[in-house]
Amino acid sequence: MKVRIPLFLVLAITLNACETVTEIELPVEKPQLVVNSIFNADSILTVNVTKTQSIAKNDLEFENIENAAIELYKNKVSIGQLIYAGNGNYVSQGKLPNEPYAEYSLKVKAAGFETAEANDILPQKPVLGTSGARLDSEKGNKFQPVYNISVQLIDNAETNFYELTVFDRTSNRLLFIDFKNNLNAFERAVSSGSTVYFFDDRTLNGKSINLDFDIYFDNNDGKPHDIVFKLSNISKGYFDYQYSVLRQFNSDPILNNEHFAVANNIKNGLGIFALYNASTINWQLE
Amino acid sequence: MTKAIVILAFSLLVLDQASAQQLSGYVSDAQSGERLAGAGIYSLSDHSGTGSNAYGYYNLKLKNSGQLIVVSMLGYKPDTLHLKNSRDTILNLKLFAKSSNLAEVTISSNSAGNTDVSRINKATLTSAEIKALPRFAGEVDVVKALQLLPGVRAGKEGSSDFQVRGGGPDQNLILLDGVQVYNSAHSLGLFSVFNADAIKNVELSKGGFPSRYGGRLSSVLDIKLKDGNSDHFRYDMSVGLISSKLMLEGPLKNKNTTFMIGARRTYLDIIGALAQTSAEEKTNYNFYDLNAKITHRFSEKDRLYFSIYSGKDALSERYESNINKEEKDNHFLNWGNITSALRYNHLFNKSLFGNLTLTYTDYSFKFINDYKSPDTRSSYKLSYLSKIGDGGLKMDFDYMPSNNHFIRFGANMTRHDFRPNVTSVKNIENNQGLTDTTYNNNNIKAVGYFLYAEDEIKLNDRLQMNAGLHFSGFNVQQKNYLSLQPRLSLNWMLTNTDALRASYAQMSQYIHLLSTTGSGSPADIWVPSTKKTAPQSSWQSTIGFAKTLKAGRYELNLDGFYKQMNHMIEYSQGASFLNDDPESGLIDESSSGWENNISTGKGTAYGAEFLFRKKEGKTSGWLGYTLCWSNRDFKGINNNKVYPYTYDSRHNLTFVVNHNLSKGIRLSGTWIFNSGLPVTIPLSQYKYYGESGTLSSIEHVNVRNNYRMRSYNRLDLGISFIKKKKMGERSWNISVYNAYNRKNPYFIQIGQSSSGGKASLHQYSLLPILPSFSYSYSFR
Repeated sequence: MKVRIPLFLVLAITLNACETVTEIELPVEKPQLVVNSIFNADSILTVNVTKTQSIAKNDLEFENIENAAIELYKNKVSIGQLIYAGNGNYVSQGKLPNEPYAEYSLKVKAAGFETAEANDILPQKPVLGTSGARLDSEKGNKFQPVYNISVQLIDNAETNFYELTVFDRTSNRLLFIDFKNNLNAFERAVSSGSTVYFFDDRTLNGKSINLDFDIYFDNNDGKPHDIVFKLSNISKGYFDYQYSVLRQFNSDPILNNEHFAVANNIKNGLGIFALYNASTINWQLE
Repeated sequence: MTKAIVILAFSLLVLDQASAQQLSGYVSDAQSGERLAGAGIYSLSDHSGTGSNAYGYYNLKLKNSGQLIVVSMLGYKPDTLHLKNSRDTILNLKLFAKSSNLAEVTISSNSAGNTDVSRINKATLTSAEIKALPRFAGEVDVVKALQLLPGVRAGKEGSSDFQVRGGGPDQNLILLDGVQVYNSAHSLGLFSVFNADAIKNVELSKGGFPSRYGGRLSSVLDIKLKDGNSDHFRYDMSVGLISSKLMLEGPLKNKNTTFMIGARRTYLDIIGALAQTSAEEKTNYNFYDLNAKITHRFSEKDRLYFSIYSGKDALSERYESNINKEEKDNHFLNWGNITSALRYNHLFNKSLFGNLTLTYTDYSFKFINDYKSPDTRSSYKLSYLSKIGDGGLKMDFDYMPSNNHFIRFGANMTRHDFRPNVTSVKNIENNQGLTDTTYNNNNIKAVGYFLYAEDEIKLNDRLQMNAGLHFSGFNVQQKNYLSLQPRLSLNWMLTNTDALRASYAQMSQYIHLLSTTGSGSPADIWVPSTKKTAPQSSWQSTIGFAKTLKAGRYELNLDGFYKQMNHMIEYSQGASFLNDDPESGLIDESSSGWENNISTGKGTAYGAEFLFRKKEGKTSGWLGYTLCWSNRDFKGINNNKVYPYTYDSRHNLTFVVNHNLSKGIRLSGTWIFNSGLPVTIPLSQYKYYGESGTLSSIEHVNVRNNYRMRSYNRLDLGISFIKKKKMGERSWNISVYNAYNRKNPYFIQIGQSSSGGKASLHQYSLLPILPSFSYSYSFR
């Protein structure tokens, strides 16, 4: 049931009665460097570099920065330059090892911009215990089965932030999750029918709990699907970034107190540099 | 505390026994009998004088017999008395207004000119001055009149809230007959709740606050209601475009008792109902307010006052299906204040005047959504309540031991009962599974108290001072906040017409307003300081120059101010009481509690004010200018950097003219200019790095208030036709709001350009040219 906001009604009544609209040309703001990199341990680091564009532009063709020099540091020691791989992407020369608590830093130099800097610490891999997937015949049907999933998470004493996804590798899409635990989780709808869950360990710190949720997927061919459960331990910077993106996408600048600014951990620029460490479980479900 | 005050009062009584010959009594208006505050009583023989207090009482110490006394008050004919005897004399003085024409503006209720210490940082308006101004939708508005004074500016277009010297709208203490009013606006801010017919005078303190006031950082708006005409009955009625008013006043039984009752009601709901008879959706809105006061004189020494104000706004939107009458979706929004005061005046002796007051105030805001669908066999009822109730007791004493000292002291205790955001939900889905939950149903009870003492001292012929202390406390959730606030105002007369002045005041504020829109909406919630949320505090210092010209008919004021404010709160970025949380909507957000959704910070405001005012004559009015910077520094907002306040407006200019064209025709005009207000506009966007390769954009809004809207300017015009009739006096007023139809900015959003392609900024303007009329008749 969607709650209708009465203040809107009042404003609408008042404004509709008298409002007039005048168009004003947008002032031009100096472009800023945008650095985006979300890195999973044991893989190649990719950094995407673009620049901001006027809000007046309707397309999402953000201009790539192709002449940047990106230096990567591990625990404050340089481990080399990234190589340009096209489309604004710069990659590391090999996989970076999974070393929890390693601090990675970036320095991004590009002509016409201040040097942008960012750093983050690689979290530990989440520890998973027993797990199970059970077909829920009451909720689902042959073409859209529903599975009750239970996965044991053993949280350590540190402050942790988690991202939970379930991926259908067979149909190459993230699945819809109906989360049962009360973990102050927030959910981002990635695309139609797909969700990603984020939660912190305020309610479960240092404990072992079962994450219980239902997943829904389309199974028109009747064949087993390769389903991947992925729980990532993410940094606080990434958690804040995701929460603030969600809030900005859903907030109304008139009704809410101001626009919602997205969390940013890039010094002299915008974007996100985030490290995560994921544990996965695979099921064949039909 | 009470014991200490009794001891102090007793010692003052003893002290008074040794005083010289005294002339004392009350000063009142000869026609209405209303007591006059601030009248000057001056001995030409002794070259010494005093003023009447807030209840018209004065006490003048005389050295010699055979005195020549002058009684004066601006707007009134001065009176000269020859006092022959050498004994203590009680003399009630009556002053005649300079013009008997009711409609003529008799400026200022205070004889003390702008070069007096009591006038530092103060602005005074009478009911007549307010009524003389052009009207908005036919309504005379007290707060809109105040918004024309330097140092005071309106919130958003048309609003009846105000900011003083860069402070927030919650930092204004609004007192109606000494009782706090929490919400001062009807119609989402378009009209103030104060009925100008019922008002005696309005005084706004912007700084250098006397010790008797406390509890707010930026201003004190003290509105005094009429006591009621003690000479004859009088009826005033007025019919306007959106509302009608009626006021009755007069004496009862031996003229020892007087009463005043004023009421106003809109008829927008009646008009609305006629226009929507067959519609499935019906929207209705109305507001009313009622002021009543009764005064009884037991003796010359004892007086009892009882005043009450009640005002309410009601908005409803009802949906009822034409096909199935059972299907409904109704929304109700109600908000309003009730305030009342029971005051007992007692004159202990000629030098000591006391007041005991019981106060009560209640403000509530309520929203109900009642939904019922027989098809889905579901129903839903959501109600939201924000409420604050205060009950208080205060004692105030005026002690006049000599003509050189005017001492005020007293104490106040108020019990607050806060219910900031109580939300309850009853939900039935498919005729089963009733959810009945109430969130935040926890009262926060608190006790606020203060003691004060101040002395208005004439140090010599040139130097005056008001020095005092205000000691306050707030007890909430087992936490006791205390604050000692020194107050000082100095006035140095350079010549008989020129004065230099300076002031310093510290203030504390124990309650906060959490505003969603920043523009004085009824949905803003008042919350107390708690264990977790510290009280606001400030200090302000001012320095200025004042000059009177042509025997006080012209005034010139120039003041500079600097204000520092600490522990202010506001909703965290994007938070709101009715936030439609992306996850679960309104309920989850409100259930998390307001304390989890706020940021704290500090603010500074500084600038200068200029006022040139012609107070009397055929043409009167003023030119006011304010130069002001107001900044905020909040944790977690604007990357923790200082940013301009939402109402930071550099230049504010007002020009007000009233001109009596003839005895029966009066013209008035006001022009206002404000520099553009800052707003947060995303001027650029950047790439969002999505999980599954989805590309989107993020608005770059990391800088708060990064764009200035266009400047605001507006001309209002009014003409009144006044005619004496057999039974009294009738007047027609025709006013034009925004006479040159300026499209002033109300808010700005990014939108699609009408020519297609690129987006552009869309400025929304609210109020175009609005002509209005009102008709009033005053029976006597």
